[in-house]
Amino acid sequence: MRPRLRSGNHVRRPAASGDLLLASSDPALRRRLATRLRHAPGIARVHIARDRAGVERALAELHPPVLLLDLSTRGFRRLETVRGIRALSPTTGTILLAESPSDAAALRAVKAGARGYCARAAEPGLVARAIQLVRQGEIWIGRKVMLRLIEELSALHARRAEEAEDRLALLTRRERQVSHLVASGASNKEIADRLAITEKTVKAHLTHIFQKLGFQSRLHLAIFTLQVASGATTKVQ
Amino acid sequence: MAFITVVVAAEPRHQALCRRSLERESGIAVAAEAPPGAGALALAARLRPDVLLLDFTRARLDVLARLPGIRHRAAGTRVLLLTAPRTAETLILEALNRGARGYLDDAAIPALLGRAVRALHAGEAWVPRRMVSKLLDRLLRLAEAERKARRAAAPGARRRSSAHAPLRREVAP
Repeated sequence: MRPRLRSGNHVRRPAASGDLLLASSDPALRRRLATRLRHAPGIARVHIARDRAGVERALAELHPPVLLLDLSTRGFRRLETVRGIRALSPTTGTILLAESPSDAAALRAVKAGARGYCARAAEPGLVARAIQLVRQGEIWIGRKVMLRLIEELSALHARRAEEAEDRLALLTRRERQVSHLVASGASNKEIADRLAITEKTVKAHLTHIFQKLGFQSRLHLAIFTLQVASGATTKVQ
Repeated sequence: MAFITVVVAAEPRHQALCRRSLERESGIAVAAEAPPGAGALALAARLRPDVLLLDFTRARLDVLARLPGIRHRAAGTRVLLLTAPRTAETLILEALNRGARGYLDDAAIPALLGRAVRALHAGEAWVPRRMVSKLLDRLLRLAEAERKARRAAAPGARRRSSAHAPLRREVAP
C-alpha cells in the first residue's frame, strides 16, 4: 500500500523541508493529528503511513525531515527499529509517540537515536512545536527527562573522576603542584612566584602536563585537578 | 499554602533584581540572601531551601569546587545557576556534573527566573534546548568510550592511559 500523498501526486521526489511523515495504525490518532498538523505553522504537507512497510517505503522515497512515529504502529515493537529508521533515512528526525511515556523510556529512545518523545495524547499544538524544533536540529524531551540525562552524564563523570586519580599519578610531584595552582586560578607568574621558579619553567611544566594528560587548555587541567581534589565522585566521605 | 523557598546567592549587581523578580511570583518566597561564597553553602546547609540560586558569573572555579559540598550537605536543595552569556560550555558541563540542575542567563532574570525556579522544584532541569543535544552527544560518546575501555582492558588489569605505551592489550573476541 503506497503512502497516501496529500496532493494525490505520485511522482517520486524527496520531501520539502516543511513535510512531515505521520505513521500510525490507529485511524483516530491519524485523523486527530493530521488534521491539526496540516494547519500548523511551518508544516507544509503531511504524508501518512499505516504500518511498518508503509513507513519504510515512505522513508526511502521521501526522506522527510521529520517522522512522527506512533510506537503502536503495526510492525514496530522494539527500540532497535529506531536505529533501522536512521539507517534507511539518516536525515529524518524521528519523534516517537508512546502511550504513557516513562522518563526512562524516553531517555532510552533518544539514546537510541530518536530526536523526540511525546505522549500519544499530547496536544497537537505541542506536537507541532516538537516537530519544528526537531527540524531545527534540537531534541524534544520533557524537562524531567533532561534531568535524567544530566544525572546519567554526571554518574559517568564520577566514574571518570575515579579514573582521573590514576592519571594524576602520572605527573611528577612538581607537575602536580603546578596543576593545583592552575586549578586555584593562578597565572603563570603567580605560579612561578609561589614555587620560586621562572615563568619559563612553569610553561615547560605545563607543556609536559598537557602532553601527559592529553589536554589542550588550562581550563581542562583546572577542572580535571578539581575533580580529583574535591572528590566529585559519588563515593563521598 | 506551601511556598517554594529560595536562597539567593547572587553577585551584588544581580541581587536586587533576582529578589524583586522572585518576590513578584506567587508561591515563591525568598528565604535569605547571601553573597555567592562559602557563606552561601553554609546558609543552604542550614536552611535547606527548595532552590538555591547561585551566581556563576565570577570566581567560577571556586563555585565549582563548592558544588559537591552543597549536594552533600543540602541534598534536597536544587541548584540553579545564574550565568553570563557565552559562558564556556566546559564550565557549565562541569557544574551540571556536580549537581547543578539548571542555569539561566542573567539577561533572562526578570522574564524566566520564576519559571526556572518552579521547574527545578518540580523535579525538572532548566537547560536551553540547544544544550540538550550537546549533552546527549556527550553522553553517547563517553558511554561508548567507557565500553571500549572496558573491552580493551585485560581482565583484572587496571586501565592504562595513553601516556604510557600499551604493555599488552588483550582484545576480547
